[in-house]
Amino acid sequence: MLLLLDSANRAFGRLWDRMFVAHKEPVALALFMLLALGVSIAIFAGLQLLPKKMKKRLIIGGTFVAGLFFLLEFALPGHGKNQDNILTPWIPRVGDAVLVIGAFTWGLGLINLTQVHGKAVARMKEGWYNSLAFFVGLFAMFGFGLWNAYAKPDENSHAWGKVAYEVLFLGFLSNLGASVFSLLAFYIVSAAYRAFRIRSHEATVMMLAAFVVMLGQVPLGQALTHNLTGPWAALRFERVSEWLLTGINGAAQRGITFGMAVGALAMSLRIWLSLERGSFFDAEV
Amino acid sequence: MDFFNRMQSLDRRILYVLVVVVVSIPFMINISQPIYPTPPVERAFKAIEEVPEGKIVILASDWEFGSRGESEPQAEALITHMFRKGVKFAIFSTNTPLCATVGETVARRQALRFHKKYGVDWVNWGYRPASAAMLQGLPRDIWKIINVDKFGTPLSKIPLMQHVRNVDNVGLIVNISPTFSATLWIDYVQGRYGTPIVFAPTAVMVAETYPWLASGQIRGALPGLRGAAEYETLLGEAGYGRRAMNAQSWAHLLIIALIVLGNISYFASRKLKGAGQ
Amino acid sequence: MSQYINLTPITLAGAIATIAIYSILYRENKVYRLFEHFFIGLASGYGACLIWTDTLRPKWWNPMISNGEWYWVFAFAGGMLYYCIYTKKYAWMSRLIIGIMMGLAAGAYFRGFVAENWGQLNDSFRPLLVKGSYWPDLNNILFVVTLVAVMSYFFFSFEHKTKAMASPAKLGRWLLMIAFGAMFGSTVMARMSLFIGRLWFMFRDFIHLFPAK
Repeated sequence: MLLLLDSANRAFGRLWDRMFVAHKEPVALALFMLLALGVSIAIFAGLQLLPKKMKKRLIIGGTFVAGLFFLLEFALPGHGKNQDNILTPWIPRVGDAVLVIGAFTWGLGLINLTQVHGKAVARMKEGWYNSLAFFVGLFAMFGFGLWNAYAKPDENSHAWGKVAYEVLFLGFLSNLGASVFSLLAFYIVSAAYRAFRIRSHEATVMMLAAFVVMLGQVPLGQALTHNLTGPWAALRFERVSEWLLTGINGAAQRGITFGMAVGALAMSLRIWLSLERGSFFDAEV
Repeated sequence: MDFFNRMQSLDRRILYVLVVVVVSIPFMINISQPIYPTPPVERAFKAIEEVPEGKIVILASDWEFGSRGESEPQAEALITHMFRKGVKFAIFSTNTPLCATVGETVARRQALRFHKKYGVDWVNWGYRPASAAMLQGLPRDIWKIINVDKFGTPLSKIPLMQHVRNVDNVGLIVNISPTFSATLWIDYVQGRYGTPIVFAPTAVMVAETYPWLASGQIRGALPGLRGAAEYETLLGEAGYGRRAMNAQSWAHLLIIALIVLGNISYFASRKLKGAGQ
Repeated sequence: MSQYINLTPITLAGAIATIAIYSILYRENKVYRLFEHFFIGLASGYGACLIWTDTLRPKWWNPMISNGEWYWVFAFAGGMLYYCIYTKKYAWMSRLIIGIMMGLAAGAYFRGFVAENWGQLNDSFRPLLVKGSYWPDLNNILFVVTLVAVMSYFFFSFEHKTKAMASPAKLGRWLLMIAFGAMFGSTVMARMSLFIGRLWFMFRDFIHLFPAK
């Protein structure tokens, strides 16, 4: 059976390589590209004519076949050091296709943001200048980013495009990103003072563990107990902290990981078999 | 009672100013404390020391400016070690397009210091969106999946990449990330091909890293800024990480003091309220 | 002046950005909102630029146009299916491509599940006695007890009515508190690190307040 599959796989591979041959001559290339585009449009037009039930089945079938590829690649017996089987050589091609198709989704986010902020600017809503700032940032960074990628200025160049790119990227983008996330430090201080109340025994245990770990990971905390020697050295903050992290925390995290992994596996199975329910999956075709 | 109530509803802006002052002190006065490396960092150091001759390291740089405070010192320490040891590496990002650029800025800085050449001692593969398909294809054929470096140069034209075709030519994967992206590498590379992984998470992910360290699926780790400081100690460098850890000490003491103070005023006001009633 | 303050365009831009973002700590204001939107625009623009230069140009456009690999047009057609979501009539086609991509990811997870959890499971079966003796290995016993207790806490298939189920679950809750305390302790360091980085930039790179060494 496996030999049969293997020969079928090789035959398919040869057919694939014969069908999809590169054509560098511009006219042939253009013709083949137009042909491919035409075939794609024809397929989509044909799919559009299908009855609703068939469309839903097509989605379910497509999802199933896509998942089946990797599942079979994992499950089928392999040979050699890496347990490669008949489907393994197809992985790089599938990987490439997924990479490119996935990259096109970026436009969805941009369109959404443009719609929201475009409306705000067009209708001069309250705070419209913020949306204008968004567009300034978007086009400036996109434009100068492309310029930098294509012009490839020298490291010592003082071209205005390079200066503008560096100011936008190293000056604004990097520091804005770091600043936004660093605000969390202030919020954690505020929360520590105002919200952390030891109202139960469990909370006491949690706080004590937190204190030990916090003191164990900073030099000042380590210095407080550094004079403990001999068997008492095991009670140094950094050692107790490491023991807590490796022992109890490690086991607890693993328990949580197992639970999450089984949940994720169940979810994957549900998605693969199109058993999942929800606004997206139950939407009318 | 009024005093404790006022303490509890202290304007948070006062707390913010307190944070700035307390964290600035160690930078002004430079109170230096020794830093003692812990086993996960020592194992990470050893993993880079033991990278076989002729193999490269994939530096999966999945951090960007949002986690710069921790990830940049980690990247500096790891790249310094690799340049010093003569271990060649390839920067690669699967998180966002920005990550590969950010990792590269650190590499360029250190390359100047150690007189290392792009394309010979290190390379930047750029960004490829994280997907199971891509990560399953990468170990089998790096040239096909990556194809060109960040600057559009085909891998076949890069001297470093001449003998790097698949996972057999990769001696170690080092993942610097604010998320647990090491599981992607465990799933599709370490699990199947046995390539060791060193993980440099931000401190938020440290607690979750320990089960993987215990099972050996992650060989070593640099836990947050502390990990970077410990690594600098092992390298014998007095870098930013070590200075910043002194500031961390004071910040941690402040947080502990605030928690204690907050609880004291809470329980005191409750007790007084109960007595008043 | 330059020995006290760095007025190069990049550093000045960074300082302005930092002060603008930190102004929210005083109170909600227009400057913060403006720079917040500017940041989103910069990030989106840079992301779009890199998607083209790092992924689409080398993996799709150049192979298609320069190497004559005309069949990449099919990938373009597949990618365009996502945009059918904007039309009511053809929206179902976007579900087709989303379903295929989700199916691929779901199928790939099976290998990932085994690769991740096999090692974890193996390590969980730890010897409860010290090797070569009859002394109990307390660390390993504590590890296994914690693991079982935490897992029983999350076991929802039947109610924790009996003492046999309720007691381990209760112990699991206590042990989880220790783990969460450890997580909180680590999180504090993470958040502070980000702020320390900003402080270093402002008072070392911008205003030369902190000494060099």
